[in-house]
Amino acid sequence: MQPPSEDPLATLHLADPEMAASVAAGLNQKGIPVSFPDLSLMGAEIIWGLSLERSFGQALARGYVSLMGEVPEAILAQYRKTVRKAGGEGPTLGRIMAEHLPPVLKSAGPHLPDRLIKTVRILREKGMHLLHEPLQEVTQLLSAGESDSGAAFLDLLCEVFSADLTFNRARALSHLLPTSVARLSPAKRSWQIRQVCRVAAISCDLVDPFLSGIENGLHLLSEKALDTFVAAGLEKFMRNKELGKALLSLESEVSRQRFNELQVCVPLSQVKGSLNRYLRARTGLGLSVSPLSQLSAAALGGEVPPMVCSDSRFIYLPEEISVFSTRAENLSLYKLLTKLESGYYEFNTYDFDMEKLTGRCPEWRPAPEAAPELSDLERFFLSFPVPSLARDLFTVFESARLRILMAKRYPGLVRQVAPILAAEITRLRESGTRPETGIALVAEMVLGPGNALRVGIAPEVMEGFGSIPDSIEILLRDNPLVETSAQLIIEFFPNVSRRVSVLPMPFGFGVRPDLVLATHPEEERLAARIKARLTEKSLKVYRSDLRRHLLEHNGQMSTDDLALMLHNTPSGPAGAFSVPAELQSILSEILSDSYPNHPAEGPEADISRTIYWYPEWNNGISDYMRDHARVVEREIIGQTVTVYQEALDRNRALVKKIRYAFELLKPEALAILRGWTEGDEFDYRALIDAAIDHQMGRIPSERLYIKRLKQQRDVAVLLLVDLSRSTANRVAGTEKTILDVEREAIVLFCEALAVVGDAFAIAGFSGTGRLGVDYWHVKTFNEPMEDEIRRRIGAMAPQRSTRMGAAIRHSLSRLETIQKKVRLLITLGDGFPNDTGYKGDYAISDTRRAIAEARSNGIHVRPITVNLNPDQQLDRMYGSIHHTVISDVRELPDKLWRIYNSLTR
Amino acid sequence: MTPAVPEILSEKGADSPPEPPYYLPSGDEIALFEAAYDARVPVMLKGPTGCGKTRFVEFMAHRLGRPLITVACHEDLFASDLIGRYLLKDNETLWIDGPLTKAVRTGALCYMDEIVEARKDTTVVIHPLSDSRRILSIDKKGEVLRAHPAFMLVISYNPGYQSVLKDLKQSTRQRFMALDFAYPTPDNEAAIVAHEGGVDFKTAFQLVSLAQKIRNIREQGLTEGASTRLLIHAARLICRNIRPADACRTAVCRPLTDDDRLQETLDDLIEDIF
Repeated sequence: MQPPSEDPLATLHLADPEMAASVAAGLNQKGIPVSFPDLSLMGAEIIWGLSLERSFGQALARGYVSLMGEVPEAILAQYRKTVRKAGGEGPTLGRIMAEHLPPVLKSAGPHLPDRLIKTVRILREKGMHLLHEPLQEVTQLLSAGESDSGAAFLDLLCEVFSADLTFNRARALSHLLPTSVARLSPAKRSWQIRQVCRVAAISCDLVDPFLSGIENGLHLLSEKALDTFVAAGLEKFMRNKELGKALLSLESEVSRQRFNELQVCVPLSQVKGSLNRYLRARTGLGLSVSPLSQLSAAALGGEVPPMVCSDSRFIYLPEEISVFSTRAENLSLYKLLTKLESGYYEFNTYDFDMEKLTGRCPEWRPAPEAAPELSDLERFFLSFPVPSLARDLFTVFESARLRILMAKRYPGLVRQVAPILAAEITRLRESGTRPETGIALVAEMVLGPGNALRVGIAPEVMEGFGSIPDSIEILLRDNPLVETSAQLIIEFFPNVSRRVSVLPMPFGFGVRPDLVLATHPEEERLAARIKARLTEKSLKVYRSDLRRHLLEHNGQMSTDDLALMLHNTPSGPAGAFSVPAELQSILSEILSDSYPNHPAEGPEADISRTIYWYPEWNNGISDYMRDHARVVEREIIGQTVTVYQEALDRNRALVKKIRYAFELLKPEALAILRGWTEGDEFDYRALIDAAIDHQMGRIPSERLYIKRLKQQRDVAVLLLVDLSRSTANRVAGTEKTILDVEREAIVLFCEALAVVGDAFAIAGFSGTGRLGVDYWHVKTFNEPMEDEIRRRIGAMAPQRSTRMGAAIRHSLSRLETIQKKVRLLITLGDGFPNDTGYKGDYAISDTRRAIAEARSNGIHVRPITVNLNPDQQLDRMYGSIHHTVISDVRELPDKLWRIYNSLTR
Repeated sequence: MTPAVPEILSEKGADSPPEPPYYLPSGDEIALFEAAYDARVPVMLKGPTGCGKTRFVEFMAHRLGRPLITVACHEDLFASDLIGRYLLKDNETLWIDGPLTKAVRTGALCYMDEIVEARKDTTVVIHPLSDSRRILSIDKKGEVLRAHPAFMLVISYNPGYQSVLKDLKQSTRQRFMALDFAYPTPDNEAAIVAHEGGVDFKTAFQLVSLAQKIRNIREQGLTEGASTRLLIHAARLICRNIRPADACRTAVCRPLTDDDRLQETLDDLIEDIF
């Protein structure tokens, strides 16, 4: 802005220099020239505002700055006129208008200014205090460019506040509406608000139930489906008010049914469990699914984000899928994406090894300047003139390789996916945004040779490729490895790069070596170090084999493992497997050089309470370290029983079921058993029968005795709960933390045990370092189940780390004092033990050791792990038979008591 | 009224078929068992259900040329069910040997299946038989029976049982040598399924691949993975022109679990493989 000869803001400068400066700076920042008359008009208006109330003037200044230069003269005049009018009625109203009108004027929404003025008028009648929150939300929506949603929301406000409302009700709604609308997903917001509006038009009492219904699941419905649902709900409401409300709030069984019929969109949270189970079954690896939104935009890459990608720990999938018009199809798309993506791990795509490739193609050399910290695959791609095309080609050839391998192992799978992939490729072609030649090659590779014509590719496009697809198919026929795909790229890259520059894959499938590399940096570095040391000694082991071994064995490797790998390498020593002493010492030297030193111990906490010392098993020296862990007993102080009571109320139906199941377990004091062949005394009825039989020449029964058996359940159980920090994590799809869910399970557990009368104790543990293991008493064996205990259960809270072994040993020492026939320790954890200097193999072997100690003392240990996918390491820690993994913690409340029930039946 | 007869699964004597029962060894269990027989050390077979324990005993009995007497143990199995009892006949009492006594007298292999299911007071009866004394005392007759030189005791035990109340006592455990049984390797298992189920190798491999995947999710609510026996059942259905996917669903998946969500995963796997 060029300062004119006479400053139009001069008067403002005199009135309020600070504000004049900020206005000038604001305009300057916009860099748009503003006419002199406009400026002087603005100055005058602001001064008028300031004269009425300072905050009004400030709002006016902000409003003018945001409008200046962006809207035509007429709009500016409208702003002035409207604000003038509002200011005339009072500075507060003027401020509100000055503040919220600019975004309305700037957005191109239909009749938005009129709607805003009308809304403000209606709300004002109910009270000025109601205006703030709703208008804030309107401004939010409009600034985000959602003029449709903004208009819909204004209509909703008019509709709701035109009704007869009490003071409190109006205030509640003025808070509820904006907060609920803010939570809706932007893509669906405008028509969802319109449905709320439609409901509100019938009755304002329906607004709350319907908003909670939307939150509870209706947000998943498509526009049309929601419309149908609301129509049904309103119809029901006309006939029966309560039923209508229940339907719209999605609380009644009928409404759930109706909802399920209409639901087309499938959210990941609903299928997560079954996808994870499938992955576990299919691959046997610890792979699980996770929403794509967990990845950063940079990690997602590309201008069109993919529908699936993975990093060897998670397969990332969309948060919800509504591609197809039926729920079943959308569900099967989730499965298809998972099934295909897991192929990369089942058939070892990411075990690509440059050394193996150069062994196969001796004349080919990777580009020397490629950075060494990249993965082999990325370095491979960089060796070509167009690395992105090399990566695309690799993805395409890999999908051909996987198709061929899967056709052998999973013929059914290939049959299922082929039509969906073909349809997607056809869609890509018809969208016309991608080059047809690229799509042609993708179709030939992904679906098999001869399929390009089927998805509508013109024959002349295919002719350009000649016999390439067929020859690739032949090369991939016999047990192809990932290096075979790489070889194909070396062979066909020059030819293909002349015709295509990009290969669009259906659903955005693609290999992501960058993500995979970033998932296991530690193992990657370790493998590289060991490899480098081996090369120095001119020993040959492939780096990919080292890495695979490290990944499978939690980063551990012994000299024997290394020797075995050396032996299995083609150029390795021939003959029977034995390790010469010399080699053994070289290998052990290599390994000890390669592993970094273990970290030091944690700080010492200073607490004077009951202190116990326990040994800890050191797997490095294969011996106990005496008095290594210090356990401090602590008390949980609870304030209220409400938490316990609420958990009980929420699960009322389940509690009833549990009580019944445990009633059945409860022994009768003295049972009389009849019809025994030996026993305490004769059963006279049987004796008479026998005499009669005898007289009649029949063979009498010899089951003539009765027995009186004193039946006793002689069980003591201690429930040991991991209170580590991770239990504060939210459970997907709910507001609860893991510990909240565990607490519910504990509440039910207490109820069950109270019925059956077994002696039980509950304790939590956590800690920092070996000198600071905390053992929190919740209930000891001797304490009766009173309100004090319920308060403590309510007050259990996440603490710090997990030193499992010490906690188990302390629990054992508690159990050992109990004189019962069966003594049981149930541990409830949400992951692996983890503490300062207590990680990985060390922690696992100490925990194992502690459990073995329990066994030798005649105490049964039954670990339960929640919120974790089954893992071989868990088997190593707890043994494969007696531990239970509950991947979805939400199942715990229903499962814990069942487990106990079946353990002691 | 007929006298209660102990449940005897099979009682093969001289009339057992000449051809040996089909058994595919997966390690050195045959040699170990023969050595144990030679030394008269009682044997405990440990392993999940349906992995071939019973078939192995049948096979060994045939190989050693001894009759096999099998007792399926259950909660109401009394000592007299094993040893024998008096019956009244025409105003006379008549002693009837139980299966264990019969085996001890005739020198058969006595196979007590699922020994943990038996009552603890019953299990004690086998103690004097399974140490160096090799005697069976029949209290009711006042007889102490010395075991036939060829007599041998074999018990089976599934460590996967969940209940802590049902565990084998140390005093019982430590009288036996134990052979661990696991599911066979994929190749062996396919050969077994192909032979027993009468299907071709390709189908057998598909069935085995399904079983392996099911065993991967054992912790997720299945008490045990799919056994070889279930695969053979499925194979037999396939032979009789049932569609493979249906055969697997009815013979493998439905028996394993009642959990709908697990069934869904199993169905997905079946659809992939067949």
